[in-house]
Amino acid sequence: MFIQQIIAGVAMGGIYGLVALGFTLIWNAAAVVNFAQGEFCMISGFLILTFFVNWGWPFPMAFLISILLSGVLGVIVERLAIRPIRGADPLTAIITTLGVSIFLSNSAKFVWGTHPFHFPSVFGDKPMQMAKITLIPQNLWIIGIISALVISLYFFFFGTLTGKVMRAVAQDRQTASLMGISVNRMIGMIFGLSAIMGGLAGILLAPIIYVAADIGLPLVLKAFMGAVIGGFGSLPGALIGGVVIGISENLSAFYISSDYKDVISFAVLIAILIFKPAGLFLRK
Amino acid sequence: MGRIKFSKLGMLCLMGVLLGMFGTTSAVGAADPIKIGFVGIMTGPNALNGEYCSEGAKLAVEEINAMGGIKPAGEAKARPIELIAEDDGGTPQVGVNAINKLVHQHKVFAFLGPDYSSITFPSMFVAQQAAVVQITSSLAPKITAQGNAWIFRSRPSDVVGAAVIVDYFMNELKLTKVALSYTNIEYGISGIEEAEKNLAKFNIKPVLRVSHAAGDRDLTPPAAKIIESKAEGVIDWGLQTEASILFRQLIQMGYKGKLFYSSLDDIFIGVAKEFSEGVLGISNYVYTDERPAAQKFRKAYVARFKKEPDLHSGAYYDAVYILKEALEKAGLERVKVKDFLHNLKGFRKATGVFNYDINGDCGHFQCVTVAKGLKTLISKRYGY
Amino acid sequence: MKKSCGLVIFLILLSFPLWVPHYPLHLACMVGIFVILAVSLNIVVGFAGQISLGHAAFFAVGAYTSTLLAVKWGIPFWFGIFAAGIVSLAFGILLGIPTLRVRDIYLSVVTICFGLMVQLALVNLESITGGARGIYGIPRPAIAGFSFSTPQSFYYLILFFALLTIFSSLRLLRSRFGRAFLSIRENELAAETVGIRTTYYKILAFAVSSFYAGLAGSLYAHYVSYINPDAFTFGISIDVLVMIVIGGLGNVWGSVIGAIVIFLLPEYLRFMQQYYRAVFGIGLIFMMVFMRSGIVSTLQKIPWGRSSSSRVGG
Repeated sequence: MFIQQIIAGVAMGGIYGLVALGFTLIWNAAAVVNFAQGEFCMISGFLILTFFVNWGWPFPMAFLISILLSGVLGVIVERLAIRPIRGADPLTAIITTLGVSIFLSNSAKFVWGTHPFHFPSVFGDKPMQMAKITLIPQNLWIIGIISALVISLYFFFFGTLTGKVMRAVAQDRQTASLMGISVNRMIGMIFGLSAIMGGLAGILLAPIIYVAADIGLPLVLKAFMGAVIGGFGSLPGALIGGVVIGISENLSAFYISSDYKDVISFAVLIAILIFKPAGLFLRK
Repeated sequence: MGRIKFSKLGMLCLMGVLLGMFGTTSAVGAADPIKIGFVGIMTGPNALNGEYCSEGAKLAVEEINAMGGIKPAGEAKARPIELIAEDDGGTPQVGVNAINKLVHQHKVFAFLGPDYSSITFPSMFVAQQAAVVQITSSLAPKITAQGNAWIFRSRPSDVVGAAVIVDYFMNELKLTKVALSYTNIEYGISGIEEAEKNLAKFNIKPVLRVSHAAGDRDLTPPAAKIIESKAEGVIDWGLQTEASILFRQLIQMGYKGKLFYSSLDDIFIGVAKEFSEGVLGISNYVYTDERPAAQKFRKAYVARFKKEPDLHSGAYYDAVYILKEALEKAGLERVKVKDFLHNLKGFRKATGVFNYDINGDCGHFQCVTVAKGLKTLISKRYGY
Repeated sequence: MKKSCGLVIFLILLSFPLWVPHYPLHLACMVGIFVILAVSLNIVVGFAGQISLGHAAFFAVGAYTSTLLAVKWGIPFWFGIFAAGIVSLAFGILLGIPTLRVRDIYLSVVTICFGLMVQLALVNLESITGGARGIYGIPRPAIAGFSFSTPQSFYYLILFFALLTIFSSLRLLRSRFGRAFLSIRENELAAETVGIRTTYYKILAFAVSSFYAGLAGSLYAHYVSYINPDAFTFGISIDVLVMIVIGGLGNVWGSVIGAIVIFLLPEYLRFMQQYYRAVFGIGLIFMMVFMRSGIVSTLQKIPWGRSSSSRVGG
């Protein structure tokens, strides 16, 4: 049972980490705490529900189009809501992204309805036995996909020109623009990439927790916590922070009580910050 | 920052705004229609519930108005009903406001709802203080245990429901190891307490008691605990989405015991889909009920709303007719209507037979239902 | 001139229960409670510049303190509300302590967690707080046989405490504490350099802010006579934050106006039904893009008419 819970925790945590990754990318590039990050997950969940379940498209096609559309949404959000407030103080950015979040989740409500929808599991949710452990294939697939994504991201950011340019913009906007980089376009692309990661997380999440219009905010709060635990601004930190939260949730829910699992996550966060005020992976 | 330097014009504008915000009164309605209020969930994640409730009420109002309306005792002419709806958003905070509006602003004669016990219980005092009849579909037992003379039910409370399902588990299914699960809301908590009381009558202690929060979407931990407890059957009391997620988890983890959910309705089936197969429930009304009154209601509902009614729709439909009966026999005086309702016995309508008592409870008709092929069927009747 | 206009408005407010109908008066009472919440949050966010996203926690602590004292031990409201303020203040200091180690964005996450933790504690500590079911039958305040059981009478209580909060806040702003807060907000490092004990002042800001929020909580509990953890969600913290940002950070009267506007907006936009929230979201974005310093300062910038030259006397 313990191993099973750990694996489930890593899978769920990987998803949180994915959202946290996108969240951190945006923070690094635009100094914006993106409270709307969870909505990218929510919308992609509905998109793939519509394409795959309601319209019967083949899964790979539905998957790709949903992710692409999430990316487009990210670019649109950046252009309309974030760019106009570029350079404003953090509180303005928080209220703005909250506004985006409220708008997106409520719009989803009148497009798709207010109650949750069941999403079939494509990766297999029938447990299988391996040595004395019960494994759910879905969890293994999630861990696999996210690992593959992380590796591709690594190659993207360090191996390709666009990736390097993005890193430059994230590191120092002014210098980057002085070097002739179109900062606006890059930030738009970063939002798009972030939204794609959120979209992927949403699709992985759909069979686990249903597709619904209100999953965005709790998700982004967990991503925020994960990003902070890992060291706000650090990409590997965001991923690991998310996994920490996933494991902590699962273990505390199972061994202590479902009711206290969130309190324990918060306590973990506060404890980590007391000892390492800048998170696990950053120096203060 | 600091000082505001408004000119005179600015100050006048501000005063105008303040006055405008507080001075508006609603236009006093024409004396003709009888105003009946409805409070239910019209927005939020559980708005589908409110849809069913309001549709049931609307159908009744439309039918009655088509026949000329209600002719209250002592009046010469029949009057139409005006149904005034307010949203309670699924939360007590918004609900209290909504009921306040119905009672004090719209000045309704009586009103229906809320459905959620967590909203009804804390807001009951509004109608009580204003001496307005309130017919609620909520199920928590303590609603009618407060000595409130103005509250009435349109469905038998969970005292009946729990007794029925435990009886079924014990006598029909002969189970001994039962796990209890619930959503941490008034309805869930009081329902599971009733279930425990009834199990104790059979000298059975539940092997597990586990809860989840409303809005919780990851229910693997309670599911895992249930499996570990080796329970033969699970009684779950709470919200539809959470129950369907829990049951899906249980089935996927290989659980083979009996599953019971307290509010087995189309909302639950719509979310759980194929995982609802074989799940047991309790209900005061199912659309597959073959009683003539039930089928008549169903036909009318399907024709009007192009979908099958659920147990909520039936409750509100009947509630409107109960009010009609009271108005026709007792007249347009609230106290007389209240007294009449307390003594109303043997009133039959779409969902069953209503026998009111001094507490506002409406009787003992319940069925144990089972979900088959995405429909709810009656498994056994009690008290019809 | 300003004073006489203020006096007129005050007299009008005082007269509300005489002519405003039941339901709008009930709204006025609720608005008053949120005015207190907004003005109190402004002390931490607007004056001292700390992003606090857990204000609902203090609202909750005040409400539950006063409620438990009244319901479990029969302690009268007049003592209960004061106790509510003190206990909230203690919680405020508790939240202020992490500021010793944690700053800025990290602090805002801690405040979110704090708010959520308090709410979860309220749900789970059933034996004390009644859990998710909440506590009902909270008695109305009474004095010498007279009970404040109607909105008409309760309104005056709320008006009193709202004005108390507003004027204390204004005085605080003009005091040396206020100046210390503002300097921390402008540039914390520089403030430290000139010898301002920033941690002390930050904790003080949280303490004062939470005291008033506790008062609001007590008023709320005794007015609606029922509380449960759902009344104290992250959403409430966000609503109050939006109120003060809309009104203008650091501007006390701005917070008042922000509270009035944000609270009454859903009432007046009811015709929009389910579209209201989505429009609200767009409204927030719009406000931040075009009016980010708040309604009041934007209104100030509009030339209302030759005000300075046509003014005669006071």
